[in-house]
Amino acid sequence: MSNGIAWPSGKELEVLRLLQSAVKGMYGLEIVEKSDGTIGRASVYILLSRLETKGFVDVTRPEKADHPGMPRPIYKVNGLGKKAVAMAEIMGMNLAGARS
Amino acid sequence: MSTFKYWEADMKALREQFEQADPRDLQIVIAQLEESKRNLERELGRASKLITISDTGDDKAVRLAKPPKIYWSGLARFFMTNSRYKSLVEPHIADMQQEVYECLGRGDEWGARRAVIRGNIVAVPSWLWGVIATGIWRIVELFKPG
Repeated sequence: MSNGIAWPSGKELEVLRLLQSAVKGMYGLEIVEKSDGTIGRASVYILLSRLETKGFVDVTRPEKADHPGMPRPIYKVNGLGKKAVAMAEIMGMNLAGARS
Repeated sequence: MSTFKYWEADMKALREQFEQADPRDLQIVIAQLEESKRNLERELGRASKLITISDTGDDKAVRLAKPPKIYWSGLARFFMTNSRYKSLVEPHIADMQQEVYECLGRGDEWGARRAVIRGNIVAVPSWLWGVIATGIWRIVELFKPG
């Protein structure tokens, strides 16, 4: 793109759409569960990492978990991500089937 | 147990000292007694902390104290940049630990073990599976006759 923003791929758009449905953000595994098999456990964090790098997603890492282990990061779509989803819908892109 | 033996020895020594002591030395004896009491409280406090972790005989308590990890995460940390590690490996560890503690909370020990195995497999990037498969294939090729 001319303004330097990399357009999200089809699967990344699918992740963005799922994230948009959750106001408080989502964990990686929640995205996997809600995607109905479109997004796998092994690939979800690769997609989220790319979205974070491209600037469509904000990540919150809580300091403490409710168990002695590591806290899970919460992913939330930001303004740019919402615009990308809206644009994709206007352009009539099939989110799950769109190509990068 | 050993704490009480020490305490008994302390008390015996103090009692002897008390019996032999001049009433004027009573203040010194009382001070020593108070010191002994403080030591005992400190020892008991330390012992109770140890008991909660290792002496309860409750495996869950021990496991809860040590969160499970992904075995190759040290290797990943060595080869990956900190930001890549945080965004690609740490979330898998966090998910695995969440699942493990959920299973242990339900009393499902086998579920917790499965969660650890699944976490270790899922966190391996797909390209690394390709490298592993190629390596195995090359080893097999070495033993091919002819």
